[in-house]
Amino acid sequence: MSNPTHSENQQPKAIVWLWTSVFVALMVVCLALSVDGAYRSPEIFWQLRLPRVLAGFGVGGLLALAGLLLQALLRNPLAEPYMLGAASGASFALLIGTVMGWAWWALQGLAFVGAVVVLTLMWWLLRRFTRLEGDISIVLLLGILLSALLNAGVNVLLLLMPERALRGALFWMMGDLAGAGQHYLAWCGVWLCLILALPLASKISALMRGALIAHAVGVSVQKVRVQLLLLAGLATAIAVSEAGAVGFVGLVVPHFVKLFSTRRGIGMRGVMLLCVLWGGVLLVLADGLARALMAPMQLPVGVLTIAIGAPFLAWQLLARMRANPAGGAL
Amino acid sequence: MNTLLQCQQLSIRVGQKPLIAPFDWQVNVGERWAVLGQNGVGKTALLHALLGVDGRCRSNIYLSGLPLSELSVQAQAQQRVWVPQRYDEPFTITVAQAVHSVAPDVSAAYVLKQLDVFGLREHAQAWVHQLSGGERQRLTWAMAAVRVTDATRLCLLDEPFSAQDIVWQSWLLQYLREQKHALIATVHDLNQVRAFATHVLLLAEGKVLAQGEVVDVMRSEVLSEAFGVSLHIDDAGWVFV
Repeated sequence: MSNPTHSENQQPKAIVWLWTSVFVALMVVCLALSVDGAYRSPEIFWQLRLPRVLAGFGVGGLLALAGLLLQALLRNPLAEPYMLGAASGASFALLIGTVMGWAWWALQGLAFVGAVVVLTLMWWLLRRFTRLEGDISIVLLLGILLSALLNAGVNVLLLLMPERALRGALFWMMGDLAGAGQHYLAWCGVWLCLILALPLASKISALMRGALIAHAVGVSVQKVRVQLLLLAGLATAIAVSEAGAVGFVGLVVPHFVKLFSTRRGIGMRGVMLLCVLWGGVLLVLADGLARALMAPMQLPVGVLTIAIGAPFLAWQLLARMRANPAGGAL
Repeated sequence: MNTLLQCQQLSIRVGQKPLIAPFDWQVNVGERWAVLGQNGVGKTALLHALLGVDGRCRSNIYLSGLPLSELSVQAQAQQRVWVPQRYDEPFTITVAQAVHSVAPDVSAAYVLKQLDVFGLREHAQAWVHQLSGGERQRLTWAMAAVRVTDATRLCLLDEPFSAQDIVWQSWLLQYLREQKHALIATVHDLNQVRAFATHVLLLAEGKVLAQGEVVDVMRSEVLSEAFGVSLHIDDAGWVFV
């Protein structure tokens, strides 16, 4: 066998799709910023609309990216960011702060700490209990158990909570962008996480074929696993502390991005970028709907992402079943 | 330097359970080894150890003169390719992309060329999960072959013919004979051994029962002891019960 020739195999159409997505994302953000005349009052625009739209984009992108990373880490196309208990940990910490009557900014920090503590625990479990050639789904199962435990604690805290704080807490737990983005945490975070994730792209592709195969082609599997967990954890923690538990974005967006990309020769770097862009666009659109649907009342955006995402994914899965009755991969 | 792989007092364990007692073993350039033994005797565990998966025995295994514990995973991977016994694919991905994901630097044309070698060219754009068992196994061959460069010195194969029909078996056996690098393959069909191997490592009863050239190990009394049944070898070299 001869030495393979090294060459650039990004097809031109892959580049076209990436730029189209960038353009569409920009258009959607501009549209969300300008709709219903927010631009006429500079105060509303700068203090409410801009932070909220950018936070929506950032949270959507973070969740989609975290979902992608976790699906690669757990080798499970149905993994989503909250499966490792980050959202439950954040909710639990936030509600403790609410019961204590802390200020809003402190609550946001507390939510971040809650998510990080849970993910650190998962990281320790990963280090301690998984072996390279072994199955890593134990981490997934422990994450689900930990979530269940924390959710029980959350319910107790909800009962203890003063009546007037209850509504805010419920909104937060359903995922809500009202008042989000004051410090542009998610907006800056999503680009930071993307920059940190891009160098891992080829290692992630190899790891998705299996830990042993990745090891055999020269990937330091345990190191990359820890990097993935920390990066997905960071992204989830930022998203959760900004907007609460926005469901389904982290599951649906990577699923469709991968499906879209695999037919068009878009590599893992492109998939990461598309996850951020499409996740951001989805959440910005969903938040626009959440504000408009029952105006002047606002819905929590998390309700809408589930209302859009769940039927969409169900339709996809059923179509797949019909095309290939024997089942198969997602 | 002629010695490619050297094991010094290598013992194979799974968890705390000892599978193979400490043994010495040397694989030289140009040798093709068949690893034989009953189910569960530790053939796959041995290959995993040679891959450097088990941290406890990395310092007992020398690749090109250096212990695995002193070689980075990348440095090992440059010298060594691996065909796994199983490959599950939970994700929706095409055959060509699966090959590409383990060799991101090679061209699309080279991927197609390697797929052609293993009869998968017309499946390049098919989903991996739609392949038959034999096709999927040949995909793992392609994923190894695409990584072979001039620096490749060793190929490890874990039951590489188990899902192949008789035509592909004979073709793949011939393919192995033509390779320049040394190889170590676990096999179950004793009659495949003469078709590709120059040497045999025979595992039985928790130890290396015999090792050496094919003619020395593939004798009916040795094989009968290893497998616990009476095995006969006819004049043409065919093994039968």
